[in-house]
Amino acid sequence: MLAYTPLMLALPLAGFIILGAGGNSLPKWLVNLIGCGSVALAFILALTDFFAYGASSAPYDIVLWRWVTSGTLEIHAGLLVDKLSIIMTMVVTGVGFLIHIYSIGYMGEDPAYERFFAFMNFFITAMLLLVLADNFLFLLIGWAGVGLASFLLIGFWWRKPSAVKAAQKAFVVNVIGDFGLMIAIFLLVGKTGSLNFTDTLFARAGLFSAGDQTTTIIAFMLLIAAAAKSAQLPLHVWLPDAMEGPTPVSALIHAATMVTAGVYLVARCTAIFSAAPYALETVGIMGGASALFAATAALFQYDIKRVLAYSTMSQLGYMFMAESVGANSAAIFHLTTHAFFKALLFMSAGAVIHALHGEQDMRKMGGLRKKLPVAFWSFLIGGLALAGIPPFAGFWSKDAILGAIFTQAGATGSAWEYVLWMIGVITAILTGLYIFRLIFVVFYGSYRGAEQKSSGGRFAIHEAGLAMTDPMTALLALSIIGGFDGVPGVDTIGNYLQSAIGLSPAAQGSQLVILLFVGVLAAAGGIFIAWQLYLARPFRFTPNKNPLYQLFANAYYIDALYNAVIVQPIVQLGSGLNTLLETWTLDGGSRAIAGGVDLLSRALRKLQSGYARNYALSIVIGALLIVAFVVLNH
Amino acid sequence: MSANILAFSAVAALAIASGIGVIAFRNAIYSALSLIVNLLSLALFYLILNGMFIAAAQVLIYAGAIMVLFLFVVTMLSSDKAELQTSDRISWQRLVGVIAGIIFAAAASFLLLVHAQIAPDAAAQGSNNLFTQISAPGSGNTEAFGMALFHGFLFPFEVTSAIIVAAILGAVVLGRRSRAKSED
Amino acid sequence: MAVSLNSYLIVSAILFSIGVIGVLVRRNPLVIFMSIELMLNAVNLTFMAFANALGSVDGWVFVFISLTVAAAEVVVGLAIIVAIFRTRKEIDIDEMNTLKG
Repeated sequence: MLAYTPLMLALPLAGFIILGAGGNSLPKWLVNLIGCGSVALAFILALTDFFAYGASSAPYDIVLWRWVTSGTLEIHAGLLVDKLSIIMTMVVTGVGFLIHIYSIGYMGEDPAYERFFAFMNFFITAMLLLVLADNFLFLLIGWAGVGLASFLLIGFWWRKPSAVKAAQKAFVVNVIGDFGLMIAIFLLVGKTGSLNFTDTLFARAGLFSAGDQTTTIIAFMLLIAAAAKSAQLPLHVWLPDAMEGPTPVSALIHAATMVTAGVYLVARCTAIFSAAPYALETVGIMGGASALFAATAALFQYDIKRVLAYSTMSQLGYMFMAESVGANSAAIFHLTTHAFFKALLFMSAGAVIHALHGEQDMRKMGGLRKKLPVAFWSFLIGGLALAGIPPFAGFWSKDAILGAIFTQAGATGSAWEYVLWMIGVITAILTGLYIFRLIFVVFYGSYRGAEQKSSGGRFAIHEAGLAMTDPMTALLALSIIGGFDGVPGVDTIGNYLQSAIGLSPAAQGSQLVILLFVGVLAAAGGIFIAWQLYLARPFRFTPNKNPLYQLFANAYYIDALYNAVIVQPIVQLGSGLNTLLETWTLDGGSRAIAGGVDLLSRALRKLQSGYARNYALSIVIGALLIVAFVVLNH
Repeated sequence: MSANILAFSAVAALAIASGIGVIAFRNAIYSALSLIVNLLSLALFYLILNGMFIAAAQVLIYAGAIMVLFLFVVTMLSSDKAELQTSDRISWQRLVGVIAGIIFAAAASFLLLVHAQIAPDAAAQGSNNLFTQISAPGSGNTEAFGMALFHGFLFPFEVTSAIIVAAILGAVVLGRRSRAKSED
Repeated sequence: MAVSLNSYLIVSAILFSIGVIGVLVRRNPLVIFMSIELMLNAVNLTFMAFANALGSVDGWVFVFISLTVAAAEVVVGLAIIVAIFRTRKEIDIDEMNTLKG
């Protein structure tokens, strides 16, 4: 059955080609069938792969064709099935399928409906390529492909200038990451002479040795790639802006799947990172800083989707923190649960936005609990899962990470790792705070927006259709039960992944109980603060001049900083060069040449007098010159 | 000074004088008459050069046919005073043209007199393959010319006839008043 | 003694130059045409002179052919001049100056 894995890529690709080439002439039900059906089949294939692979531990390599042969370097277009890629494909296709179904409802009114599904299918193809590639070059194609899909989908509503700008921003930042990955690939070829995972990552021990400078550089380059793709500091700036895209896109690409590509890359390249301690430490610094940064930035956002965007960034920070202490399986565990509950949160946010006809500002919401029960319950369950309240999914995965960090800190005695754990706990408090602030402000209190009247004159806020609520229900169930495969002590998923990416350190015994207690306490504390601030007294928006508030609300002014330090100088340089090179040198030069030719021809056209006798004279002069030549040579 | 040289000098003087006459007379009729004299003097040159047939052809074709045509057109267009009625718009070319012509003649004469002694190539003269030989110097050589024309140069000769037919057709077409105009 | 070849060539050159001057100086197309005939004949003279000097009748053939071509050319040329005169009612070659830059 594993041999059918290429079909998993081919089906969404075929969907993309059919919908992209002829989608506008197909009836809507057929677009739905192709768009969702291809992903559904891919999900079934992923499930069959899971069962077919079973408990095996040897990576199953499928070579499609020989792609590049250059000297001893040989690169195949090949797919690699192992437990890590199986988990990833199941998340991508499973969550992807649900979001495709959701899109039928959410995008139903959009005139470019089939284009949306074409791009979504393209994204699924690229993402599957990314997680299934058996060599770095093939991975790079998927890596760039998801960047392209992200660009296309963020800018899907291309008539909106802000969407176009956001798409460009995402693309540019992602290209920085692509560049890092490319450098890493070059160095890897130079060091090992191969790009296949089998020859590099899974090769004999000692290929990447600690203290080897090239290995460290490769690891750092991979880290840049991961940071750009997973929106970690300092390359996170594109993610909040990416919320300009349609909400299903935010759910699929910018919450559940694409942004986790960086986590996947680091987990996949464990062999390299474990030989580069500095890089691994930087992963932890980056993850911790991003987690804390994003959690604080999420505290005072008023755009419902931006809160979730910063939350995503913060949760990705958790995953990188886990990876920095070698808890790859905990990171992947959190990746899966996060995909469930964050997609759920985005979907419910989409349902709210959809019901309010595009309104995203929390200040204009409120009291929606009665009007939108499904969205409310989804938000509540998703929020509890995100905050880490047992028994919901996020609790188990987040505590697996915190437990791993604490255990590792205890094992190595590193003060820094205790600091990392502290950051994790503080971020957990903040997480409970910001997500329940969102829930309380949106669903409790009284409605603060403009009255929405339907043609019948009644209050027109109503629940979304089944196409949207069904996938939400499915994810709601997954957000409740999705964490049980990682219950401490049993840790099904960790044991499953052990052969692929190693076993995570985990807390034991009384330490485990204390840590679980601390985790629940942190989450509950955050929720309690939110309750105190936003529910105990009626919410009223008041501008706050507190510098700390301003710092958080503006996400530490990093956008402004980049704009001032990087963007503006480049724009200035560009306009300077435009004036200097384009206007003065090139334009001026060509105008001078044209002017010279013009002047010359003004003079020369006098020769063209129109008098036949003049022309005869020029013949004679020519003859005279020949005669003169002959005479002078005699 | 032999008779040959005397005759040559007289004919040369006549040819040059009449040639100047062609371009100097303001009246186009006089120019045409000067040209007839010039062509006749060239016929005399051809006689001196043993080319009896060509001399006769020169007189018949040029003097007899072409110049008659010229005179017809000159009189028909009554353009004898044309150049007097309008001013020369590129009068500077009058001087430049004369100087250029004189330089041209002077340079050619200089080359011919001083440097380039063009003598018949002895080797070429003796070769029967390269040239059709004049059979008997002094006589008319018309027979030799006929042989050359109808053997060696038959194809160019026939082509000439085609050119003449084309010219006749062209003249007819150009000379005919267009139908559209005649219907006005 | 016979007249040298170069003498004929000089006369020919002079006649040719006269023809050139005529073309450059005169404005009456008929006279220009005559000047061109003059130049043609000057060239014919060189052919005849060379033929005599080389003892060959080939030059005669060239002269004969150029005579016929000249006749054809005159026929067509005069027809053109007549046609132009018919449409423009004037006979100054400088009036035909629309071909200018």
